[in-house]
Amino acid sequence: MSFKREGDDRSQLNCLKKRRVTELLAEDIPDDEALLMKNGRLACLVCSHKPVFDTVDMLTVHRGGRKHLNNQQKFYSKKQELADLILKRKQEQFLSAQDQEDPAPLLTQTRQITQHALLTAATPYNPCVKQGRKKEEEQPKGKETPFFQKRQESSEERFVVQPYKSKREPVAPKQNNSQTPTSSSNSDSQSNFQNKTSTRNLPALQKVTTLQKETAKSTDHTKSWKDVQQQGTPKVVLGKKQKPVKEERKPELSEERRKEIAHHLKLTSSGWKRDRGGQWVKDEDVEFDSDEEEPPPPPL
Amino acid sequence: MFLYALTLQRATGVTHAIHGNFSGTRQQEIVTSRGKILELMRPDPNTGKIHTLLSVEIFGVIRSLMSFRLTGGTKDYIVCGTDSGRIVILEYLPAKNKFDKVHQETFGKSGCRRIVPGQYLAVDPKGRALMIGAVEKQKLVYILNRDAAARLTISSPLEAHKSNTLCYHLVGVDIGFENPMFACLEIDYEDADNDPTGESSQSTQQCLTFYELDLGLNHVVRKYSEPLEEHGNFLIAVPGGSEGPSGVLICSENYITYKNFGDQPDIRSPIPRRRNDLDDPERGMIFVCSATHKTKSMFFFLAQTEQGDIFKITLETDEDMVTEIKLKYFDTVPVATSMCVLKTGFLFVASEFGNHYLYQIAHLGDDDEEPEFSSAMPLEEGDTFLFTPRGLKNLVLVDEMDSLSPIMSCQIADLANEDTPQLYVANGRGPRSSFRVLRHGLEVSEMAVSELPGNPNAVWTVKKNVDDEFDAYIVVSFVNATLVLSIGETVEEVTDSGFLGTTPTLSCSLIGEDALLQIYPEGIRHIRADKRVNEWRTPGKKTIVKCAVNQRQVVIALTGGELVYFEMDPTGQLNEYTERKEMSAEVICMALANVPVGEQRCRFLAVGLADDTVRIISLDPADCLQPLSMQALPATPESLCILQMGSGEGIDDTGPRNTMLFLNIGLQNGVLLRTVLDQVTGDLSDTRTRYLGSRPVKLFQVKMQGNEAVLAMSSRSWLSYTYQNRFHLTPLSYETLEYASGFASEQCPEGIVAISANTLRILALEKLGAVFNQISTPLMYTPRKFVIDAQSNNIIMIETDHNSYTEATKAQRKQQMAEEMVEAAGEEEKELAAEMAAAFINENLPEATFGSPKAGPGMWASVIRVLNPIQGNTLDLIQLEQNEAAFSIAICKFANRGDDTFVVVGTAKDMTMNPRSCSGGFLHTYQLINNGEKLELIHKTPVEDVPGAISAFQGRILVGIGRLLRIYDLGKKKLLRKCENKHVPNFIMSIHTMGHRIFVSDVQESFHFIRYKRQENQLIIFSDDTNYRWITCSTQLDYDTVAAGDKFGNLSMVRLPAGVTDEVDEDPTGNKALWDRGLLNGASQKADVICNYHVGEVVTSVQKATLIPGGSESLVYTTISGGVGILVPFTSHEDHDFFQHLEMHIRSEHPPLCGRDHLSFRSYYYPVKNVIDGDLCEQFNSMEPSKQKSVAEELDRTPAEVSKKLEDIRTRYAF
Repeated sequence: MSFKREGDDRSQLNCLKKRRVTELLAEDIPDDEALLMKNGRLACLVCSHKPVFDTVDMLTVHRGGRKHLNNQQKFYSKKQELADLILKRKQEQFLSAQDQEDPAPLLTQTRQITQHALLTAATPYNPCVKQGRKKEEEQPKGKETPFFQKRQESSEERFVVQPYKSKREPVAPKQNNSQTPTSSSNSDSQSNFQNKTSTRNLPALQKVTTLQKETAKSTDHTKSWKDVQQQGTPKVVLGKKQKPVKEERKPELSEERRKEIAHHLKLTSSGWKRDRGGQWVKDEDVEFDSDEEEPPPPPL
Repeated sequence: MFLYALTLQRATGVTHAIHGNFSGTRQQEIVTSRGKILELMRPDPNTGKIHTLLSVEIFGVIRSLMSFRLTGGTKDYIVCGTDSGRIVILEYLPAKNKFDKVHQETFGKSGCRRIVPGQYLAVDPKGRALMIGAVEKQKLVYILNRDAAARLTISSPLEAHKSNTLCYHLVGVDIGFENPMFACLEIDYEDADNDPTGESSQSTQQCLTFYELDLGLNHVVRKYSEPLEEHGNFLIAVPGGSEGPSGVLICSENYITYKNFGDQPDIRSPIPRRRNDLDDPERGMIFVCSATHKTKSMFFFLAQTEQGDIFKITLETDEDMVTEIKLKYFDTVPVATSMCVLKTGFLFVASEFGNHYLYQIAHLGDDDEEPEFSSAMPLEEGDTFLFTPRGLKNLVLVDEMDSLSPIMSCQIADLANEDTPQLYVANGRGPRSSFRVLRHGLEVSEMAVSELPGNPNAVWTVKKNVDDEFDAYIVVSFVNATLVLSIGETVEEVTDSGFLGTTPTLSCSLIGEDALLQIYPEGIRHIRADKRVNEWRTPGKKTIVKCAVNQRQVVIALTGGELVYFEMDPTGQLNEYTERKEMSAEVICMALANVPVGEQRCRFLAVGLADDTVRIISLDPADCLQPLSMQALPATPESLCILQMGSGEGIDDTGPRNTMLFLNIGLQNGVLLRTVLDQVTGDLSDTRTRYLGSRPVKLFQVKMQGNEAVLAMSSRSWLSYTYQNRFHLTPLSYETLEYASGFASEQCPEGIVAISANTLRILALEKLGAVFNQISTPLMYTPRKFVIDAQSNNIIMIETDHNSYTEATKAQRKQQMAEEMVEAAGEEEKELAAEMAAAFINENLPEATFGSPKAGPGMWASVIRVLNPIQGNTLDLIQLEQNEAAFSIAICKFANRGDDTFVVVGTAKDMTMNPRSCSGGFLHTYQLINNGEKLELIHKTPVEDVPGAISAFQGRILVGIGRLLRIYDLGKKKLLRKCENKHVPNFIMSIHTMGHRIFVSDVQESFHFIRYKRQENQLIIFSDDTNYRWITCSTQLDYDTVAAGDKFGNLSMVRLPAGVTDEVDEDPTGNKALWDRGLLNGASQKADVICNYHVGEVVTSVQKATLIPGGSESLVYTTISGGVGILVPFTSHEDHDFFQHLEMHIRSEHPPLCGRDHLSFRSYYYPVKNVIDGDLCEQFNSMEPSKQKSVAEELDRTPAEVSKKLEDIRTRYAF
C-alpha cells in the first residue's frame, strides 16, 4: 500500500512521490529474481554473476538486456526441471503408497503436515509443571517411535514405585481396583475407558479426550503393572502420582466395593486418618464433636 | 468468545445537577450528570412531572458541570469538565433534540489526574469567564465572548497555577461588571512536606484565595489570600454588583462565615443542631450542598446539612456592609448531592442515594413561628443553636424519580411464576434502603374499574366535536346490544346519543367535524350534529363483516369479500363510491391511516385477507380501489393498524417532523410485524418482526405524549411508541386485556379504556421510557447480600450498617437522655421536664427522611430478615447485637442432616475499617422452619476473623474467614472445622463451587482455583490469575471459566486453558517447588484472560441469566449507580465482524461528546478484549442521516438494515 500525504513541504513530498513510483515499478519483478540488500541496493538473482544495481530503474533496464534474457531462459528451465522432479517423486510415492493399506489416509496426511509445521516453528518454552504422563503426550504426533528408548523403562519404573496402601489386596490385576480413586490401578478392558467417567471428577471434555489418548499408553503399562504386581515388589511413595490413570474407572465396581470406597472417602474427608497400624485416628488439625470417639461404622 | 455489551437501564444515581434555560425559551430545565451520562430533564410547570428529554452517554467520567449565560443572552450553555483533558461547551438544540458541541479545548492528558484540570469549575456570574481547576496546582481561565455572528467564542487559556497547592473548592464571585474574580479554598503544603518533624503539617491552615482576571491586561493574578481558622469544605458566592453585597460564604465544620474584601468584618454563625439528637455529640456538622435563589429584590440561600436539614440563609446588610447572617430551619429532605431552585418555584433534590425528588416551594418560611437564628445572637464559644426537626411545611412533594442507586446485590429468578424472570434488587443506603422487584414492562396505573352486565366484545371512545379536548362517550358493544356511557363527573348510561342500542356494533367514531358514525352488521348509521340520522342498509342478505374508519373515510367489507367505500364531502354528507371491489379471499381485517393534516383523504387502505396476505389499496380519486402492493405473511393476519410515527421531539412540535407511515400487522400466531409503507408508491418494505404472546394479536391506535402509538394485545399487552427519537416496543405490566381504545378526560388526559372479562378498566401509562417497573419494600439498614430459598421462594437477607445503632441501643440511649433531661431540670421544672422526656421517648421521626443517628466508628447494627418477595412482607426479623455485623450468608443442606435447610450467616464483632480488624467473628447457623418462614438458631460458632464468604459444598460448607478457606461440617454444639487452606493472599470475597473445583476470589489478587481432594482431605490451589484484580462480584460460567466485576468498574472473564489439570498434589516429602509454595507468584498453572471491558461504574453483581422467555442466556451485571447491563455472545462470525467494523466506523465518525477517546475509555485499566460496545453502536441511530449513509455504505448495507441488525441483537436476548 502506498500512502500519499498532503502538505506544503515540497522536498519531502517529492521524495515520497519518488518512493511511491519506485514501489509501483518494483511490483513487476518476481520475488525470487531480485534481492534487496541491506545497503539498499538490488541484486539480480537470475544472472549467475549476480550484478548489483543502485535503483529499481537500473534493475529494470538490466532486465531488458540480451544477456539477462539468455540467463533468464536458463533460470526458468532449471526451475522447470525441479518442478518436474518433484512431480516424479510424488508419483513414485503415490504408487508405493498404493500397495500399502492405509487405514486413515487423512490422518497420515495431517500428521505429516503437523510435523512439517512443527519443524519450521520451534515449540516455545513452557515453564509450567506438567505431571508425569502429560509430558509424554506433548511430543509431536508425527513421531511414531520414542526418541529415547528409555522412556518405556522410566514409565515402568514409575509404576514400580507406587504409593503404599496397606489395604491393597495382592490379587491379580484384574480385580485390583484400588479403593481410592487416586491410586494407579488399570483396567485391562480398554474399550470401557472411553465410556466410563470418574465418579469423583465431573465429566469434562478434555478429560475424555485425554482418556482416549491415554488408552494407547495404558495398555502397555497394564502389562508392566501386571508383571510388577505378580513379582510382589514393595512400593514406595514418590511425589507425583499417575494422573491420567486416576481417571480410569473399573466398570465392574460392585455395589459393596462402591460403598466401601464411599465410606472410606467419607471418613478421610471428615478428618480421620490411618496410622501405621491401619487404625483410624483423628487428625489433630480437624475439629470433632465432643462425643465422637470412634469413626462411624460402615453402612451395612 | 466474543461478546456484545448492551445497557438495559442507565445509571440512575445523580452526581451533578444544574438548571437553566437550555432551550432558549422561558422554560427552566435541569441537566444532570450520572457519572458517564448527561441528561436533560424538564419539569412540566402544570402537572409538575419531570420528563427526561434527552439522555446521552459520553463515554467518559463527568467531573464537574456548570451552566453559564453570556451577558445579555437568553440561552444557557453547559460546560463540562471530564476526564478527557478537554473542556467542552455544549449547547442544547431543541429542534434536533441533541447536545451540540460548541467548543472543545484541550489542555492536558486524559484520565482523572491530580494535576490536570477538570475537577472544579467556576463561572463568572456575568458570564464573561470561567475557571477550570485541578485538585492540585493547575487552574486555567477562559474568557468567553460572542463574535459578530452572535456565536460563542472561547479564548486561549490563561494560567493561574500555583505549585504545592491543593484546591478544595472553586467559585465565581459576583462583583458586578468589574474584573471577574474567583474564590478558592486552598492549602499550601510546601512547608508541611519539607518539615520532617510533622509540626508544620499540624499547623498548616487552609486559605481563602481570590484570583482576579484582569480583562484589560489579559492575565490572572492571585489577588488576595487569607488563612482561615476552621477548615472549610465549600464556598457559596453571594450575589453582588447592584443586587447584593458580594463576597463569599464559607461553610466549614460547625460554622458558616461570611467574608469579603475591604472593611467588611468576618461574620460568623454556628450551624444549628437538632435538639435531643441521638448522634455522637462530639461529631461536627457540615453543610453538604446549597442552592441560591436570586430575584431582583432579594436573594437567599438554601443550604443542607449532612443530616438532611435545609436552612434558609439570608444576609442583613447595612449600606453595602453585611451585619448579620440569619439562619432559619426550612424543611428536612433526604441528603442530596445537588439542589436546584428553579425560577418556576420548584426545588429539585438530586439525592445522594435513593429516589430523587421534585418539590414545590409553597412557602418561603417567612411568616411562621420557626425561630430564626442570627449571628448577632450571643452564644458561648462551642455552644450552638438548637432546633426541632418536623415534617414538610414549606415544601410540597410533587414528583419522585425512581433511582436504584446503589445496587448492592441482585438476583434474577422467576419467583412469581410469570413467564418472564424478574430482577430482585437490594439497593439503597441506611434507612433509605429498599428491596425492589423489577419487571420488564411499563407501569400501568389503574384509574377505574367497573363491572358491566355481561361480557363485552369491544369498546370505543367518541368525541362530540373534533375540537373537543376530552371524549364524550364510551361505547361498549356486547354480543347483541350496545351500551353508551357518557363521561363527565360520573359515568352514566345515556340513551339519547343517537346510537342504536339493540344491535352489536362494529365501529363507533366521530366523523367529519361533529357527526357520529356507528357501523353495525346490518348497516351504517350517520348521526349529524342536529340529531338527524342517515342510515345505509346492506343490500340483500349480506352483512357487514369488517370495517375501517377515519376522520373522513369509511370502508366496509360485506360477506363474500366485497368492499364498499364511503367518503365524506365538504358538506358533511357521506357519499358511497360507485364501484365496489371484490377481493379474492375473505376479508379478515382492514385499516385506514388518519387523514394527514391539511389533506382531504388518506390514500391507502390496508386489507388483510384469509389467504395470508395484506394488500394495499389506493383510495385516491384517480385510481380508486386499485391495488397498489401486496405482502405475503407467515400466518393469517388478525388485525391491522396504519400509523404515522417518527422522530419528532415528542412533547412540543417546534420543528419539522421526520415521520414515516408504518403498517403494523398482528398475526394469529402472536407475532407483530411492522412494515414501512411508502407514502408515494404504497410499497411495503423493511419488515421487523416481534413475537408478542400466544394469542392472536389485536392492534389499537392510542395517543401517547402527543404522538401516535399502537397498543398490541396478545396474551400480554404491548405498547409500540416513539420516545426520545427511538422506537420502543414494551410490554405492559398488567393482566390480559381484550379490547382497548384511547381515552381522554380531565383526570386522565392520555389514558386507555379497555375491557377484560366483564370489567371496564381505565388505565394510564405514566412512566414512558422506563425499561423496568418497580415494586419496592423498605428495609431498615443497608442490604448486603441475600439468598433465595428454592422451596418456599422466600428471600433471606442480611442488612448491615456501619456507624449506627441497633433498635435496642437507640431505645436505651433515648431512655438515658430522657433521664438526663429530667435530672438536669431545676426543681420547679421537674414535671415539665418529665412530660418533655416522655414526649421525646415517644416521638419517632421517620428515618427515611430524617436520617438515622450516627453512632461513631466501630459501631455496627445488623439484622437478618426473611421476606416474601412477591407480597413484600417480612416474615421473620432477627436483630443482632450492637457491633455485631453480618457480612455473608448462604443457604445449604448438610449431608448428615438430610433434608433440613440451613442458613449460615457470618458475622464480625467490633470491626474497624481501614485497616480491617475485628475482635472476632461468628458463624450463626439457623434452620429454616415453617415452610421457609422462620429462622431458628441452632448454634453460634466463634471464628478468628471476618467471615467474608460462605458457600455450600458437597454436603458441607466452605467458609472464607479472612484469608483462610475452611470446610465446616455441622456438629451438635457448633460447626466443626474439617479442612483449611492458608494460601489465599489477602481476603476471600466470594466462593463458587462446581464438582470438586472451588473458585475463590481474593479482594486484591483475582481468582484462585482450588481443588478439594477427599482422599487426603486437602484444599490445594492448582491455578490462579496473572493479573491483580480487585474483585467485587463474580460468577462461574462453566467448569473452566469465571467472570468477575471489579471495584474499578471493569468486567473480566478468566478461563483455565485446556492443558490445565486440577490433579495436583501437595508434596508430602516437603521438597515443594518454589512456585507451589506461593513465593514466586502463586500457583504453577495460570489462567488466561479472555475478555476485558471497562463499564465505567463499579460492578456490584454479575450472573448468567435468561431475560426473556425463549431467549438465550446472557451475562447480566448491575452497577453501584443503578445501571443494569448485559453481555451477549455472538453466535456467528459474520455478526461479530459486522459489529466490529460498525464500532470502528462510529468511533471515528461520531466520537464521544465530551472529547474522550472511546477505545481508551473502554481500555481504562486493562486493554479492551473481545467485547464490542453496543451502546456506541446504537448511537448510529442518532447520527445525522448523511453520516449514517456513509457508515452504512462502508459496511455494504443501507442505514435501515444496520438499524434492524442493532434492534435484532437486542431483542434476541433482552429488551
